[in-house]
Formats: sequence, C-alpha cells, structure tokens
Amino acid sequence: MDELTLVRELLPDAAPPTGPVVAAARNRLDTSMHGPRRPHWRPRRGRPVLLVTGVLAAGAAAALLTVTLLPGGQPAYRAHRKAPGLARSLTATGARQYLLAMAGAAGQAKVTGRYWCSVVRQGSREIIGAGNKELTAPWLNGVAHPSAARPAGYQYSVIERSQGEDCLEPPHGSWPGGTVGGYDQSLGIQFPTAADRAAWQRDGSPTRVGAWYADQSDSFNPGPRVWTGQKPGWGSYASLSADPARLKAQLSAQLPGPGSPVAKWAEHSTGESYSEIRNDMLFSAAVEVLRDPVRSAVQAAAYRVLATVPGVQVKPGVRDVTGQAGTAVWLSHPGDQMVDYQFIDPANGYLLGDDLIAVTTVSGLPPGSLLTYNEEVSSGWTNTPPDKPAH
Amino acid sequence: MSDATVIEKSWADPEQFGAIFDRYFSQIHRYLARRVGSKLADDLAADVFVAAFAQRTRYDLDQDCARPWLYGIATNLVGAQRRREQRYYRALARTAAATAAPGDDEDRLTDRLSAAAAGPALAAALATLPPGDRDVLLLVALAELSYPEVAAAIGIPYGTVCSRLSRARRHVRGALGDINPMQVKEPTDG
Repeated sequence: MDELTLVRELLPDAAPPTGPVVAAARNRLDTSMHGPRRPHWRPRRGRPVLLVTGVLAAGAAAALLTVTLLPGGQPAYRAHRKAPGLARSLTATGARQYLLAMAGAAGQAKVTGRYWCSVVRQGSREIIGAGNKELTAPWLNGVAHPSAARPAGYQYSVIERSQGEDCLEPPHGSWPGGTVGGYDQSLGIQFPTAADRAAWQRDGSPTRVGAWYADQSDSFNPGPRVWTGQKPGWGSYASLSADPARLKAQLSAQLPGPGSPVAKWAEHSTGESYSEIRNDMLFSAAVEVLRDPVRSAVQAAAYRVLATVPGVQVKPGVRDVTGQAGTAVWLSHPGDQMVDYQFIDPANGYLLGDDLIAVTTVSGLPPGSLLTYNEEVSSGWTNTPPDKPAH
Repeated sequence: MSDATVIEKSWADPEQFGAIFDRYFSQIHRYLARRVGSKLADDLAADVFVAAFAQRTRYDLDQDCARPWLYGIATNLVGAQRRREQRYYRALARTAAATAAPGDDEDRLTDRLSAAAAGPALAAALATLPPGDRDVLLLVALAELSYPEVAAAIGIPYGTVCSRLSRARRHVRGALGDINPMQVKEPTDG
C-alpha cells in the first residue's frame, strides 16, 4: 500500500451532502447572484502578551510554571463561570477522594440557559528552522518518545495561537440539536521566551514566520473572526449516563480492544502495555465529557470515572500557563517525556484547559517548556445566542 | 453544453451559473468533507460556489471543464481554514480506528486495517505537512486530479506539482517511521 492509498483510507469518501445542506448552499448562491454581501465583524477583545519564564520542578511532581502576563497581569478576557453556593475550599488527602469531592461540586451546577457557548483558545509551539521554514514538531506529530537533541537547523520557537467560539443548542421541536453559530480566529504568533525573540531578530526579523508560502505562513497579527455558521448535529451528548458505572461502560465500549490495530500501534509507539493504554484512553474520554455540553450530573459521573483510573494524580493550587488558578489532574508513567496536565476549577468542576509540558529535554527544549495549550476562556449555559454578523 | 459555455452565458445571465452548482456541488462537498470534516464542509462548499460565481468573468474559456478551477477555489478556502484543518487531523490522530465496512473484500479490508494502524501517525503527519505540499497531495489522492489539473487548479508549474508531491510523500513516509502497516495483523477482537 502506498502513501496515497493510506491517505484515502484515513480520509474515506464522505456521504453525499444532505438535501438541506444542498438547499442552503444553493440559497447562498442565489443570494449572491442578487447583490454583494458585506461581512461585519464584532470588535476584537484585548489579548494578553504571554511570556513563559519558568521551569517545571524536577521529577514533574507539580506544575510550577511561572507565567508573566504583559501588560496588566490579569488577562482581560477572563469570563469565569460561577456556581453559586459552592465552596472553593474542597480539599482531600488523595487524588481519588479529591475527584469524588469534585463530583459533588459538579453535580450541583444547574442548566440555566438555552445555549451551551464556549470560547477556547489554543496554542501550539512550532519550531522554525533555517530559511524561516517550519520544522516537524514531535509533539504535534504523534511521537511518544522524541529525541532530546535539537532538530537539524533549529533556530527558534513560536507559539501559534487561535481561538474558537461555538454555541450549541440542544434538540427541540424540529431542531435536531447542534451548533447554532460561532467564530474562528487566528490570534497570531508570540515568542515563548526572550531567547526565541532574539533568535528571530538574528534571523532578520521576518514579519511572517514558517514561510513555505507568503500567504500561508504565520503572522504576528490576529486574523479576522470568521463566522462558522450553523451546523446541526448533537452526537451522543444526550445518551451519556449520569450513573458512573454505566458511563464508564459507555466510554469503555468506544475504546479499541486488545489486539486491534490502534492498540497495537499505540503499544508499538509508546512501549506501554494494553492496560496502560486503555487507562490513558479512558482518562481522556472522561476528560472529554467535562468539556461537553452534558448535564451536570453526567459531569459529576465523569469525575467518579476519573477517580477509578489507576495512576491519576491531582495537585490543587497551581496555575496554568495562562495564569488561571485551579487544580491539575493528570496521568503519568515512568519515562514520560511530556505530560498533559488538565486544569479544573475546584469551585464548580469545570475544565479550565490543559497544558502539554516537556518534563525532560525534548528537541533541545528544557524541562518545563510549554508545547501546546488549550484554554477554556469561558463555557456554560446562556440565553444569549451568538452575535451573528450582519450581511 | 460545456462548463465554459455555461460560465460564459452566466456573464450576462447569472442564473445560468446554477448549472455549474448542480454539476459539481456534491463532489466538491465530498472533497472538503474528507479534508476538514463534514460540518465545516457544509459551509466551505457553499463558499466555493459563491466565490466561483464572483470570479466567473475571469474564467479561462479555453478550459472546457471547470472541475480543476472549482477544486482550486476549494483548496484556497481550506487554506484560509488551515488551523481548523490541522485541528481536524489532530483529532483524527487521537481517534483513528479501524472500521471494516460491509462488503469489503480482502484487499480492501487489508487497506483499511493498514491505514488504521498507521492512522494516528498519518493524521499527525497531515497536520504538520506544509500547506502547499498538503494541497497537492490531497488534490491527487482525494480529488484524483491529474498533475496538469493540479497545476491549473492552484496556479503552479507542472514541475512544482511533482516536487511538492514527492516531498509530501517523503514527509508521510518519514512520519510513519519504522511502522510497516503491512505487518499489522488483523484484530483478534475489538
């Protein structure tokens, strides 16, 4: 089998567009035939300048990243969700007890709106080589055990950032449920350290970075907020159980079985046993539930599932790379070179985001280096629909 | 009536352009769905024909078939959604799994299992492929355009198509490392 066949099999032929999709597209074309449309965007909100200056403590026992936010310290975009009446002082002596306590907090939140709206910011470290070209970053390429050595030609790193906004509405009447609207936006690139900025300056201070093509490279400037439109599709959100044992069974049923090609590939690439890989996948599946527009009782059940995963670790009172205070939850294994820390809000059990951090030297980057992050800027139920651009 | 004739008629009679939509919307949508997922494809496919309509007076009437032109527009629109496309592939890298479809013959099943075994690395490789190389690879692999059609679609020389495709295939092979999908056995369960 050659690469082209592999690509075709990975991205199998899709079903034809449905009648409503064709009709909507045809309607847009018809509209465009009768006069131009003028997009209108809401003004952008302020953005912090991020400069990671710290390192991770030896042994990766705790996420001790020190973050400097310039200017102003506190990001301007914080839109923290509140769960009235829930104490912030939940404590426990161990990870399991802590997660069971979080189940109690998460289960008390109420659905208070018609739409589930979320704003997520993402960042990925890209490495730039000679000639201003982007090099393959192991952490973006599914490599479990990357080399400690710098890739040939390595010059400096940048953090490429973007933001996604989505509002979903559950099914009702003839509406099948799904996204009622949202935006996508590039936030531009930033330097993770002053040393990276200096290396960029030595490289001639290119205004666009990673330039395979002038129009495809990364810019320092944010791009426009692009309306992503309505997309019906509610998935399995409604069918997830609030009973922890049933939820665990539902999530486990979706995992690849022992001997399956995916499991074999994971065993090969990570060197872990199937039971360890299954633990990892169950942990990830339960965390995804925390991210989804499910009932709070289902989120509570997800915490109870997390409490059953062997090796889960918890550390309250830490900050993520964007400065959010919360509790870190993660799985670690002997020999890990990178750890993906999930951050939760102890007040209400909401997911704050996750940071993928190098815990050994990776591609020449020292321990503690940020590799990728997701920041859940805001998410929750609201009665306010997305602000659709006027045409 | 050739596409070129339809498009020329649409210069004076815009409604004629509907025939281009009717001929190609489904295949453009399917190409986009394979690249970025069906949800985003719904919007992008509509965008392709709105953009094509706006550009119809610049269409090269010597080209009877509008297919490469439309794929070129679709590819450019995907380029504007580069981060979404990368996120889609990274999501695939986390979830790629084997699914044998009813009616698969043995070769087809082997192909599916091989792609599934290599899936996470392959999807991650697509996510990190330089955009221009990825465009060429996917226009050949998914849209099944010929090299000259790819050159016409995205406005690059024929030789550049060859070099980008060669580089993309090397990148994919490199990302698969020492995994040989052909050595992965069929699952015993799951």
